[in-house]
Amino acid sequence: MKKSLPKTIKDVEEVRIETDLLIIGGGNSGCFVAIEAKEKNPNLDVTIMEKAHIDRSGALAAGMDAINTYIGEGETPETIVAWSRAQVGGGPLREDLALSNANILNECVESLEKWGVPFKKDEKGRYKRRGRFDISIHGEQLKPVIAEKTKSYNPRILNRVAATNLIKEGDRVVGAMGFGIRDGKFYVIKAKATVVSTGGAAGLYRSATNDGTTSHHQMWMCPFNVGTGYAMGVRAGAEFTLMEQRWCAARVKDFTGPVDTISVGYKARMINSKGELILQERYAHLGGDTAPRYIRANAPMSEWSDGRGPTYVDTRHLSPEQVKDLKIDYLNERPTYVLFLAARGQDPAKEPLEIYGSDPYIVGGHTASGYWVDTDRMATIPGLFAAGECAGGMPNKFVGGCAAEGVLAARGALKYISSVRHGDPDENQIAAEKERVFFPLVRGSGMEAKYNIPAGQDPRWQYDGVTPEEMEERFQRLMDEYAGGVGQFFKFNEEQLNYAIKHIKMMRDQVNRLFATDLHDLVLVHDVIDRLDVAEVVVMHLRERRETRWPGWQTRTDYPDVDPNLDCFINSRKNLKAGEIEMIKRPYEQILPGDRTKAPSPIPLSAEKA
Amino acid sequence: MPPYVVKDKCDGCKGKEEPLCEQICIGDLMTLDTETGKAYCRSLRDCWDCMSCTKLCPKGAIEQRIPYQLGYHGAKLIPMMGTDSITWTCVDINGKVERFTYRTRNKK
Amino acid sequence: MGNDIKTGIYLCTCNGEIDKVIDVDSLAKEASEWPGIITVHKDAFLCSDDAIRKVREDVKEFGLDRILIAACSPFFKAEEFSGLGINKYLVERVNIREQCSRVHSNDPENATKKAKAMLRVFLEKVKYSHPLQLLQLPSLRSALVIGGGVAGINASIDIAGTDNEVFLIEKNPFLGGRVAGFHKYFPRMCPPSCGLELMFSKIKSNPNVHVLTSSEIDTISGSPGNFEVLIRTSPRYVNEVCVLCGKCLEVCPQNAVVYPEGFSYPGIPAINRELCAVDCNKCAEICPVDAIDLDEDVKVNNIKAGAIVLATGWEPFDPAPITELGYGRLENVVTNMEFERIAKKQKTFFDKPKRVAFIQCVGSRDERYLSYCSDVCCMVSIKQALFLKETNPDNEVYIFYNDIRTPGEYEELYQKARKAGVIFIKGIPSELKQSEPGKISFSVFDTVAGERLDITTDMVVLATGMKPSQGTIDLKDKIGIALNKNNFIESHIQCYPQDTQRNAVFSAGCCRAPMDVSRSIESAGTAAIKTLRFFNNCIEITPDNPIVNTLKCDVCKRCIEECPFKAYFFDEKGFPKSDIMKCRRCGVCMGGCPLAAISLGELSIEQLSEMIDAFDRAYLGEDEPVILGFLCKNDAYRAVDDAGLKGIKYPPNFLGIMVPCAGAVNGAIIAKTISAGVDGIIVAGCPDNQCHYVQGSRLAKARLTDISNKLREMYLEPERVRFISISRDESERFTEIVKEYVEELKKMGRNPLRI
Repeated sequence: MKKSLPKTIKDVEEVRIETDLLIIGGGNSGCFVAIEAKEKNPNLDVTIMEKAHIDRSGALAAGMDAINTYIGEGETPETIVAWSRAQVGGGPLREDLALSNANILNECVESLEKWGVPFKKDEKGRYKRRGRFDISIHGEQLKPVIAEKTKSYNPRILNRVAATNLIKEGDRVVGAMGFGIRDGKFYVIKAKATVVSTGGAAGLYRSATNDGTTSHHQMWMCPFNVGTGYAMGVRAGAEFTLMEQRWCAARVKDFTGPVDTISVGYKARMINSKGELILQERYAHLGGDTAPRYIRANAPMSEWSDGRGPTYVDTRHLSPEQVKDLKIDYLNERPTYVLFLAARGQDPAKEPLEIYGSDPYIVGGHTASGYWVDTDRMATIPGLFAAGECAGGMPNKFVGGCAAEGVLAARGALKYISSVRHGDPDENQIAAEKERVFFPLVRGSGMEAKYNIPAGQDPRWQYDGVTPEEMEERFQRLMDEYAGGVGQFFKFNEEQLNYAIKHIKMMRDQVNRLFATDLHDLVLVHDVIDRLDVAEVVVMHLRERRETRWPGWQTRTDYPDVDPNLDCFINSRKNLKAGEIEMIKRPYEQILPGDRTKAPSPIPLSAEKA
Repeated sequence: MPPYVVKDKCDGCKGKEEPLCEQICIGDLMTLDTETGKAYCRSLRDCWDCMSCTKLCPKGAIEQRIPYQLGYHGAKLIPMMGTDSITWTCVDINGKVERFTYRTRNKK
Repeated sequence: MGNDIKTGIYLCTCNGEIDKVIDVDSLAKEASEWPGIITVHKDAFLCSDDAIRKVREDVKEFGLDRILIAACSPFFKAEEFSGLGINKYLVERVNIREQCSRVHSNDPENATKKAKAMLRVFLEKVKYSHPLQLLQLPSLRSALVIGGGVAGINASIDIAGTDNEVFLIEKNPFLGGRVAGFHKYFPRMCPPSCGLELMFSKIKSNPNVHVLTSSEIDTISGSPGNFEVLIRTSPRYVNEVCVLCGKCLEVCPQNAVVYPEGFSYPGIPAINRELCAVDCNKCAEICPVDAIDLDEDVKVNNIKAGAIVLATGWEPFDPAPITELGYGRLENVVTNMEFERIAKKQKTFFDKPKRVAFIQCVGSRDERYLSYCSDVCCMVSIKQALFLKETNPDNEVYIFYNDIRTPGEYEELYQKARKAGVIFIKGIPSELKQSEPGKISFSVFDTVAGERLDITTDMVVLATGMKPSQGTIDLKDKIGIALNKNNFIESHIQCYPQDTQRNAVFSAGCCRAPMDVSRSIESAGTAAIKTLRFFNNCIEITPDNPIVNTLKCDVCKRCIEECPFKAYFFDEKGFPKSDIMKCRRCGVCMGGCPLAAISLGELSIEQLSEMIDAFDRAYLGEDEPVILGFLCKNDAYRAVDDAGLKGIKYPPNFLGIMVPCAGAVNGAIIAKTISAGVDGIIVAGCPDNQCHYVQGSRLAKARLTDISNKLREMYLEPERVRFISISRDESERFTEIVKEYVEELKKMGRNPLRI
């Protein structure tokens, strides 16, 4: 519906809602929060703010081909936590969070099958394992299935409503505000507890193929997850952890799609242009094929930068059956990878598939970046909870773990709700946010056409302002060049980071030059504002960790070795009075005994066939 | 991978305010062109190719095409939604046709 | 769901008729081993009392949840097989006689294989059936009759005469419609006052009839049996206290008083306030009984009615656009309606003999204006010609015609006119000219005599046709009825002329088609009977109307848009919902939903899905192609049955499933069927203009064209899916189609998805 745009802030209608539990982000974990909350308390008033449409929104939009965290026969919650710990080079990670998650992991995963998602089974009828903790599913309908289950409990689902900021009353979060992408209204939602489950942050860096006319969003992670959840928390003064632990993964080159499917599921090994088995050759001391993730992530980049590229995963041993299965797996997760291969006339059985590093993302479902939470998943501000990728401190959650996070956040929120009343937020705060949110749109509708632009060209070039795309492009290149993007083989030093911080701040000062000529543009404006806020924290964390603990995820050319003094959590919090980000260190607490870098496997990997 | 709406097939979901593709698009990209009464993608470069629009279109009017930056012209990937299964047809640039069918929902 | 359901399978051999082809014993043996089959029984006459008793006993003894009857077509012995001791919706008929043994008698081995495949498919269907219970929803015993002309009045009399309430509303201040303005009407040439007065007295004397004049419909909501109607009544400004003294008429300076004629009803004047002078109160002041209130307001009434009769009549065609006829331009060129008015006023018409020409088919049978014949104009002109001859035999009367249409006994009037000296000339005049003041001249080519005639007349009467009234067109959206291409009310002309496309909405008189007074009265009687029957039948509804799965529904509103009966409304949550009374269970919504989120109570998407899963696509062996047919229950399935009755053979590669309408087949079901490796799919519906559900066939054809196109892009043969239209009597054609299709599929090769 093409609405007429507001000329002044006063023209903007308001929608005021009061709810018990507000969930920001109706993705995988957000839906699980709603389902668990309604299961435990059917009379609870639950509201979901969803930027897109709950049936397909989020990273699960095209589906999934595997659940990468399931505790199979012979494994226990402890072994999966130990494995997760080893995958991040021994930590740091919050073992308390990881154990609480692992304890309910399987039932969350199994409920997906109950709700209708086909799980692949072996001849004995057990879930077919394609890796130590990975099982295969045909998940093309994964999100619609989860959405239908969520809808069956009748929560209030606000589709096409983007959250912009939390509402605070004193030191408590009492709800959130946002705007309707279709109706152009300002939403003020008071809640007793607020769960942030907006997924990770993509598009902080330039992706490798974003220079193509139609391939700007060619990235592994969902580009519409911009880190709004993190940004809102930063602006509210919540504490964040490990924001330097970026997820830079090896991905199929150019397409920047998942590669674990191939490497793990079909045992395709990484090779370089000379045919050398990279992990065996250079990383045997770190475990070779079972080396920690960041090693596997970084390996192709080192090969390229040392002149031994291109790099591949070797699929030439696959039988025609396996190639077909491989393609079906992709059709369930990133279907257009099959189109990509078809568009190059490539047969995996004849040629190995190229891989390369991806742009870095902040995703608390893969690494441990995110909100600093307690075991109830409450953040450092009372009333605020984080679920899924937003919750920090626990890496390797993936789909199953994020679902479990949703359940745990719901339980934590319910406990909290039973002890509080609604807040009474200050109207000035609400008015200020309304102004902040709609200013670019009001500005856009009132701008004078200054420059000559002929018909058929983008009419926005008539106006003297900054479009969100321009700022996003500048910002993404800035991060790529100065904060260790894929263009720099993930490497950076202190001076580069300082440069990045300086220019992020300058861009932040210029966000009032941004303008939007319709509601879709307004989304883009807030996307870039939120990304800037998240990126600032990321860069500050990268600077603070003066060591290289996880090469690839965080490679300091000026501090190339591990510093044992930094065997701890690097956290941050915005000082709301000073307006500056403060850095905090918190100690590591080991619960599971043993060598943190090792994860003894009761079932040898090689015995498991794809 | 941007979606392209074939003019002759799209009926704008019978001229309703929001055609199905607009309702489902995860990036708020598909929208109705009120002048022609047909849908289009407002920013081809921003598509993440989840193909939700392509799968849902009741007229099969959306073609998913790969950016030339990534692959050559003429390959096709066509989903056909069954009630609890899906069939994909993939045609490569050499004309080779592959089909994939699998269940997407369990029996009740 | 599934395996804890206890099913009994009953196989009829029809005393040798079936088992001379199908090996029923081997079927029984195999079926008894299927999961969930508690008992299998073979009988020579399954419809016999003894056999039915056995089934009922089995139901009790084994606690059967579902029954499969493998016998003749479900259209036979339906009564017998509905009393089996369980809800009749939990019984499924498998048509192994008409659609198997009788048509594949030349191939017993494969007939048996097909019967087995049929059993498997329908077993799966019945597992997912629901025990539906009939609901009883009584109708309000009141009718709303819209239009107070001859048709509306008679419908009201008939309905009210059987003790039901009638609300008769009329937009003018007086009843009587256009007939009231006639001079006389044929065939008896009575003045309308005579007939109408009788009708009015019947209305007056029946307290069940509530007449609302100067009234129009504001809104209609609700559903059949329970309509809620908002009626807006404009003020008349004069009430029943009036004694008809006539003083208001005398005193009014603007001619604003519409005074009733002797027989008019209501017999009170009305004031046309628009013509009043400013601040004039003369009529109100002079009225001796204070019957005039010039400040009377519009009244809005809310009435409830069970059924609606539309009697909104017709309008005369305006011949002004036919410029060569000079209407409005030349003196003394009048229409037939104007002639009536003049005749009413001037009994003697002319003071001396004149020449009058009637020109027929003005506007009618003319592609530029009204493409149809207006039915009455020939008789009207003859009536008027006879009148001219009666008033003065020296009047010269010509009738210029294309054809004279005086069917039945009206032929006698035509003869009478000829005997009276009326001259009939077959030829239509060219341009009319005013040769001198008051006279009109023209030429005409007399096609019978073969020569040109030039003529000058004193008057030309244009026999203009009947157009549907604006009232009909205005009501279209308010009631949701369909109009045909000429804007008359759409009806099933030959079988159900008085029905409209909406339940409990009927039509009477000229709003449906041009017709004369006697036919209007007849049609009003028919509409009344339909209405009464509707009231009488405690409406028995099976709750099998479509249900929308709101967990999947994205409110794209395609179901609302495509429903032929406008039976969808929005529920409290904003999701589409079908009205149990308006819905006719065609399933067009189920077929069109892009998310396959709608299911009929008697046939769901899940059922069809499971049936396809259970369909053995290699039931004749790996090398034989198989065709699954979705056959509409009104025409296609019956035609296929008829092939069985006639014993016409076709290959056993075809297996049919009955659906309510071809439009009920959803694209996702077809996609699933193709993906399951079935080689060919036929969706068969009624021919387009005969679809019992208006547009089901047309929609099915369009949807299947889309699917074929998609198959082509998928490098599958588009011919693997096809729509055919089959009329009930086209069984031979059907069998030819199947034979050709099987050959085509053999050449095409197996479906590549048949892994």
